[in-house]
Amino acid sequence: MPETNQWRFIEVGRLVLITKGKYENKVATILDVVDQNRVLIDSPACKDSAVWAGVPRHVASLKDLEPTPVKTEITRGLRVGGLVKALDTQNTIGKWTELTWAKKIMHRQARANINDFDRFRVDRARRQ
Amino acid sequence: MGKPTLDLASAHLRHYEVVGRATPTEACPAPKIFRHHCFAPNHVVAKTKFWKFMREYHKVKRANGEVFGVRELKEKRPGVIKNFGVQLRWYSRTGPVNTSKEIRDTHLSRGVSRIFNELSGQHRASFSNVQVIRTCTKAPKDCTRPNVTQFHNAKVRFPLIHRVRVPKKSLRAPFTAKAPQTF
Repeated sequence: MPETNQWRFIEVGRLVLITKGKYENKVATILDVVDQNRVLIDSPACKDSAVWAGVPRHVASLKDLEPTPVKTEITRGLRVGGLVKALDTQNTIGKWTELTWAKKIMHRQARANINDFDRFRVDRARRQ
Repeated sequence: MGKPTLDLASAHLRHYEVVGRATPTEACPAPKIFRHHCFAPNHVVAKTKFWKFMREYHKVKRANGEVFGVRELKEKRPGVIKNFGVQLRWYSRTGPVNTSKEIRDTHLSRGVSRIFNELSGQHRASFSNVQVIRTCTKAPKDCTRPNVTQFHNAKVRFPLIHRVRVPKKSLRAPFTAKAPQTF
Protein backbone atom coordinates (compact mmCIF):
# COMPACT_ATOMS: atom_id res chain seq x y z
CA MET A 1 0.00 0.00 0.00
CA PRO A 2 1.69 3.24 -1.08
CA GLU A 3 2.18 5.92 1.58
CA THR A 4 -0.05 9.01 1.47
CA ASN A 5 2.74 11.28 0.31
CA GLN A 6 3.25 9.07 -2.74
CA TRP A 7 -0.27 9.66 -4.01
CA ARG A 8 -0.52 11.89 -7.04
CA PHE A 9 -3.26 14.29 -6.10
CA ILE A 10 -5.86 15.72 -8.44
CA GLU A 11 -5.31 19.42 -7.78
CA VAL A 12 -4.94 22.71 -9.59
CA GLY A 13 -1.66 22.65 -11.45
CA ARG A 14 -1.28 18.87 -11.67
CA LEU A 15 0.02 17.65 -15.01
CA VAL A 16 -2.12 14.86 -16.38
CA LEU A 17 -1.69 12.49 -19.28
CA ILE A 18 -4.76 12.07 -21.46
CA THR A 19 -5.17 8.34 -22.01
CA LYS A 20 -8.30 8.22 -24.14
CA GLY A 21 -9.94 10.10 -26.94
CA LYS A 22 -8.79 12.57 -29.53
CA TYR A 23 -5.90 13.91 -27.45
CA GLU A 24 -4.50 10.55 -26.42
CA ASN A 25 -0.94 10.56 -25.09
CA LYS A 26 -0.86 14.33 -24.71
CA VAL A 27 -0.29 16.11 -21.41
CA ALA A 28 -2.33 18.93 -19.97
CA THR A 29 -2.55 20.94 -16.76
CA ILE A 30 -5.54 20.86 -14.45
CA LEU A 31 -6.91 24.38 -14.10
CA ASP A 32 -9.98 23.75 -12.00
CA VAL A 33 -12.02 20.93 -10.57
CA VAL A 34 -15.68 20.68 -11.61
CA ASP A 35 -16.59 17.81 -9.35
CA GLN A 36 -15.47 14.36 -8.25
CA ASN A 37 -15.19 13.06 -11.79
CA ARG A 38 -14.36 16.00 -14.03
CA VAL A 39 -11.68 18.65 -14.31
CA LEU A 40 -10.98 21.61 -16.53
CA ILE A 41 -7.72 21.05 -18.38
CA ASP A 42 -5.66 23.03 -20.84
CA SER A 43 -2.38 22.65 -22.61
CA PRO A 44 -1.25 25.60 -24.69
CA ALA A 45 1.10 24.80 -27.55
CA CYS A 46 4.66 25.66 -26.61
CA LYS A 47 7.62 26.72 -28.75
CA ASP A 48 8.69 23.11 -29.35
CA SER A 49 5.45 21.83 -30.90
CA ALA A 50 6.90 18.39 -31.56
CA VAL A 51 7.07 17.81 -27.83
CA TRP A 52 3.94 19.63 -26.80
CA ALA A 53 1.18 20.15 -29.35
CA GLY A 54 -1.66 21.99 -27.72
CA VAL A 55 -4.78 20.52 -26.18
CA PRO A 56 -7.68 22.98 -26.15
CA ARG A 57 -9.18 24.09 -22.89
CA HIS A 58 -12.01 21.73 -22.01
CA VAL A 59 -13.64 19.73 -19.28
CA ALA A 60 -12.36 16.17 -19.23
CA SER A 61 -13.45 13.17 -17.23
CA LEU A 62 -10.91 11.85 -14.72
CA LYS A 63 -11.57 8.41 -16.17
CA ASP A 64 -9.68 9.46 -19.29
CA LEU A 65 -6.77 11.01 -17.43
CA GLU A 66 -3.74 9.72 -15.60
CA PRO A 67 -2.13 12.04 -13.03
CA THR A 68 1.64 12.43 -13.33
CA PRO A 69 4.18 13.25 -10.62
CA VAL A 70 4.71 16.71 -12.17
CA LYS A 71 2.94 19.73 -10.72
CA THR A 72 2.95 23.45 -11.53
CA GLU A 73 2.16 26.17 -9.01
CA ILE A 74 -0.69 28.10 -10.60
CA THR A 75 -3.81 29.86 -9.46
CA ARG A 76 -7.18 28.34 -10.18
CA GLY A 77 -8.63 28.93 -13.66
CA LEU A 78 -5.54 30.67 -15.00
CA ARG A 79 -5.90 31.90 -18.56
CA VAL A 80 -3.63 30.98 -21.45
CA GLY A 81 -1.08 33.82 -21.13
CA GLY A 82 -0.46 33.27 -17.44
CA LEU A 83 -0.45 29.51 -17.91
CA VAL A 84 2.21 29.64 -20.64
CA LYS A 85 4.39 31.86 -18.46
CA ALA A 86 4.00 29.57 -15.43
CA LEU A 87 4.79 26.46 -17.46
CA ASP A 88 7.88 28.14 -18.87
CA THR A 89 9.28 29.49 -15.61
CA GLN A 90 8.66 26.27 -13.71
CA ASN A 91 9.95 24.14 -16.60
CA THR A 92 7.01 21.73 -16.42
CA ILE A 93 7.67 20.48 -19.94
CA GLY A 94 11.27 19.71 -19.07
CA LYS A 95 10.27 17.86 -15.90
CA TRP A 96 7.77 15.76 -17.85
CA THR A 97 10.08 14.84 -20.72
CA GLU A 98 12.79 13.77 -18.24
CA LEU A 99 10.57 11.04 -16.84
CA THR A 100 11.06 7.50 -18.12
CA TRP A 101 7.30 7.33 -18.58
CA ALA A 102 7.34 10.23 -21.03
CA LYS A 103 10.32 8.83 -22.88
CA LYS A 104 8.59 5.48 -23.30
CA ILE A 105 5.50 7.17 -24.73
CA MET A 106 7.60 9.20 -27.16
CA HIS A 107 9.53 6.13 -28.26
CA ARG A 108 6.30 4.24 -28.84
CA GLN A 109 4.94 7.12 -30.90
CA ALA A 110 8.18 7.38 -32.88
CA ARG A 111 8.10 3.68 -33.63
CA ALA A 112 4.47 3.91 -34.77
CA ASN A 113 5.23 6.82 -37.10
CA ILE A 114 8.29 5.19 -38.63
CA ASN A 115 8.75 5.13 -42.41
CA ASP A 116 9.75 2.09 -44.42
CA PHE A 117 13.42 3.03 -44.73
CA ASP A 118 13.76 3.58 -40.98
CA ARG A 119 12.02 0.28 -40.32
CA PHE A 120 14.61 -1.42 -42.52
CA ARG A 121 17.44 0.30 -40.66
CA VAL A 122 16.03 -0.64 -37.26
CA ASP A 123 15.65 -4.24 -38.36
CA ARG A 124 19.24 -4.32 -39.62
CA ALA A 125 20.56 -2.79 -36.41
CA ARG A 126 18.62 -5.34 -34.37
CA ARG A 127 20.02 -8.26 -36.32
CA GLN A 128 23.66 -7.23 -35.83
CA MET B 1 -9.54 36.48 -24.27
CA GLY B 2 -8.02 33.60 -26.24
CA LYS B 3 -9.60 30.71 -28.03
CA PRO B 4 -12.97 29.58 -26.70
CA THR B 5 -13.26 26.46 -24.59
CA LEU B 6 -13.90 23.31 -26.52
CA ASP B 7 -17.12 21.45 -25.88
CA LEU B 8 -16.30 17.82 -26.49
CA ALA B 9 -19.42 16.30 -25.01
CA SER B 10 -22.76 17.99 -25.54
CA ALA B 11 -25.58 17.40 -23.11
CA HIS B 12 -28.61 15.34 -24.08
CA LEU B 13 -30.85 18.26 -23.15
CA ARG B 14 -30.40 21.67 -24.70
CA HIS B 15 -31.58 25.03 -23.46
CA TYR B 16 -34.24 26.52 -25.75
CA GLU B 17 -36.19 29.71 -25.79
CA VAL B 18 -39.63 29.61 -27.45
CA VAL B 19 -41.56 32.80 -28.14
CA GLY B 20 -45.18 32.72 -29.14
CA ARG B 21 -48.69 33.88 -28.50
CA ALA B 22 -52.33 33.17 -29.30
CA THR B 23 -53.31 34.16 -32.83
CA PRO B 24 -54.94 37.60 -32.83
CA THR B 25 -58.73 37.63 -33.13
CA GLU B 26 -61.28 40.36 -33.35
CA ALA B 27 -61.97 40.03 -29.64
CA CYS B 28 -58.29 40.23 -28.80
CA PRO B 29 -56.23 41.90 -31.53
CA ALA B 30 -52.96 42.01 -29.59
CA PRO B 31 -52.56 38.94 -27.38
CA LYS B 32 -49.77 38.80 -24.84
CA ILE B 33 -46.52 37.39 -26.18
CA PHE B 34 -44.87 34.77 -24.05
CA ARG B 35 -41.27 33.75 -23.86
CA HIS B 36 -40.73 30.29 -22.43
CA HIS B 37 -37.33 28.82 -21.86
CA CYS B 38 -37.03 25.09 -21.34
CA PHE B 39 -34.69 22.15 -21.52
CA ALA B 40 -35.44 19.72 -24.30
CA PRO B 41 -33.50 17.30 -26.53
CA ASN B 42 -34.44 19.20 -29.68
CA HIS B 43 -36.43 22.18 -30.87
CA VAL B 44 -39.49 20.07 -31.65
CA VAL B 45 -39.83 18.94 -28.05
CA ALA B 46 -39.11 22.51 -26.95
CA LYS B 47 -42.16 23.71 -28.84
CA THR B 48 -44.24 20.89 -27.37
CA LYS B 49 -43.21 22.02 -23.89
CA PHE B 50 -44.13 25.58 -24.78
CA TRP B 51 -47.62 24.59 -25.90
CA LYS B 52 -48.14 22.45 -22.81
CA PHE B 53 -47.30 25.49 -20.70
CA MET B 54 -49.61 27.74 -22.77
CA ARG B 55 -52.45 25.23 -22.57
CA GLU B 56 -52.21 24.60 -18.85
CA TYR B 57 -51.66 28.16 -17.65
CA HIS B 58 -52.87 30.51 -20.39
CA LYS B 59 -55.71 28.64 -22.07
CA VAL B 60 -54.10 28.80 -25.53
CA LYS B 61 -54.02 25.68 -27.66
CA ARG B 62 -51.50 25.01 -30.40
CA ALA B 63 -54.28 25.20 -32.96
CA ASN B 64 -55.16 28.71 -31.78
CA GLY B 65 -51.67 30.06 -31.44
CA GLU B 66 -48.46 30.83 -33.26
CA VAL B 67 -44.81 30.40 -32.44
CA PHE B 68 -42.56 33.26 -33.45
CA GLY B 69 -39.35 31.44 -33.05
CA VAL B 70 -37.33 28.81 -31.26
CA ARG B 71 -33.77 29.62 -30.36
CA GLU B 72 -31.12 27.52 -28.69
CA LEU B 73 -29.54 29.40 -25.82
CA LYS B 74 -25.82 28.85 -25.73
CA GLU B 75 -23.72 29.13 -22.62
CA LYS B 76 -22.31 32.64 -22.17
CA ARG B 77 -19.13 31.62 -20.36
CA PRO B 78 -18.42 27.95 -21.11
CA GLY B 79 -14.89 28.09 -19.69
CA VAL B 80 -16.04 29.04 -16.20
CA ILE B 81 -17.30 26.50 -13.71
CA LYS B 82 -20.55 27.63 -12.15
CA ASN B 83 -22.81 26.47 -9.35
CA PHE B 84 -26.37 26.07 -10.59
CA GLY B 85 -29.41 25.99 -8.38
CA VAL B 86 -32.35 24.20 -9.99
CA GLN B 87 -35.87 24.17 -8.66
CA LEU B 88 -37.92 21.24 -9.86
CA ARG B 89 -41.36 19.73 -9.62
CA TRP B 90 -41.39 16.05 -10.37
CA TYR B 91 -44.07 13.39 -10.14
CA SER B 92 -43.36 10.44 -7.95
CA ARG B 93 -45.60 7.39 -7.85
CA THR B 94 -47.67 8.98 -5.10
CA GLY B 95 -47.82 12.60 -6.17
CA PRO B 96 -45.86 15.71 -7.12
CA VAL B 97 -42.74 16.66 -5.18
CA ASN B 98 -40.96 19.99 -5.10
CA THR B 99 -37.20 19.72 -4.98
CA SER B 100 -34.32 22.12 -5.23
CA LYS B 101 -30.98 20.74 -6.32
CA GLU B 102 -27.54 22.23 -6.74
CA ILE B 103 -25.08 21.15 -9.34
CA ARG B 104 -21.64 22.28 -10.38
CA ASP B 105 -20.94 22.43 -14.10
CA THR B 106 -19.73 24.65 -16.92
CA HIS B 107 -22.92 24.61 -18.99
CA LEU B 108 -26.43 25.04 -17.59
CA SER B 109 -27.83 22.56 -20.14
CA ARG B 110 -25.29 19.96 -19.06
CA GLY B 111 -26.02 20.51 -15.38
CA VAL B 112 -29.76 20.20 -15.94
CA SER B 113 -29.24 17.05 -18.06
CA ARG B 114 -27.34 15.50 -15.19
CA ILE B 115 -30.14 16.40 -12.79
CA PHE B 116 -32.67 14.75 -15.11
CA ASN B 117 -30.47 11.66 -15.18
CA GLU B 118 -30.21 11.73 -11.41
CA LEU B 119 -33.98 11.93 -11.00
CA SER B 120 -34.59 9.11 -13.45
CA GLY B 121 -32.01 6.93 -11.77
CA GLN B 122 -32.72 7.64 -8.14
CA HIS B 123 -36.43 8.41 -8.23
CA ARG B 124 -37.60 6.78 -11.48
CA ALA B 125 -38.90 10.14 -12.70
CA SER B 126 -38.65 10.26 -16.48
CA PHE B 127 -38.36 13.34 -18.67
CA SER B 128 -42.10 13.87 -19.03
CA ASN B 129 -42.58 13.71 -15.26
CA VAL B 130 -40.11 16.45 -14.44
CA GLN B 131 -40.69 20.19 -14.72
CA VAL B 132 -37.89 22.66 -14.24
CA ILE B 133 -39.39 25.66 -12.47
CA ARG B 134 -36.37 27.86 -12.11
CA THR B 135 -32.65 27.77 -12.62
CA CYS B 136 -30.10 30.22 -11.34
CA THR B 137 -26.38 30.60 -10.99
CA LYS B 138 -25.38 30.69 -7.37
CA ALA B 139 -22.39 32.29 -5.76
CA PRO B 140 -20.33 29.84 -3.68
CA LYS B 141 -21.48 31.44 -0.42
CA ASP B 142 -25.14 30.81 -1.32
CA CYS B 143 -24.71 27.09 -1.95
CA THR B 144 -25.83 24.70 0.75
CA ARG B 145 -25.43 21.18 -0.59
CA PRO B 146 -22.17 19.56 0.53
CA ASN B 147 -21.66 17.79 -2.81
CA VAL B 148 -21.18 21.27 -4.33
CA THR B 149 -19.63 23.20 -1.44
CA GLN B 150 -16.83 20.68 -0.98
CA PHE B 151 -15.28 22.00 -4.22
CA HIS B 152 -15.41 25.64 -3.11
CA ASN B 153 -11.84 25.57 -2.10
CA ALA B 154 -9.04 27.10 -4.15
CA LYS B 155 -6.67 24.42 -2.89
CA VAL B 156 -8.98 21.47 -3.45
CA ARG B 157 -7.06 18.26 -3.83
CA PHE B 158 -7.86 14.56 -3.67
CA PRO B 159 -6.15 11.37 -4.74
CA LEU B 160 -7.76 8.76 -6.96
CA ILE B 161 -8.14 5.88 -4.57
CA HIS B 162 -8.70 2.31 -5.72
CA ARG B 163 -8.80 3.25 -9.36
CA VAL B 164 -10.56 0.79 -11.60
CA ARG B 165 -9.01 1.39 -14.99
CA VAL B 166 -10.95 0.20 -18.03
CA PRO B 167 -8.52 -1.27 -20.57
CA LYS B 168 -8.80 -0.45 -24.26
CA LYS B 169 -11.28 -2.59 -26.18
CA SER B 170 -8.49 -4.48 -27.95
CA LEU B 171 -6.81 -5.26 -24.63
CA ARG B 172 -9.90 -6.39 -22.77
CA ALA B 173 -9.86 -10.03 -21.68
CA PRO B 174 -12.10 -12.10 -19.39
CA PHE B 175 -9.08 -13.51 -17.55
CA THR B 176 -5.74 -11.84 -16.91
CA ALA B 177 -2.52 -13.23 -15.49
CA LYS B 178 -1.98 -10.30 -13.13
CA ALA B 179 -4.43 -8.51 -10.85
CA PRO B 180 -4.94 -4.90 -12.01
CA GLN B 181 -3.00 -2.01 -10.52
CA THR B 182 -5.50 0.16 -8.61
CA PHE B 183 -3.20 3.00 -7.52
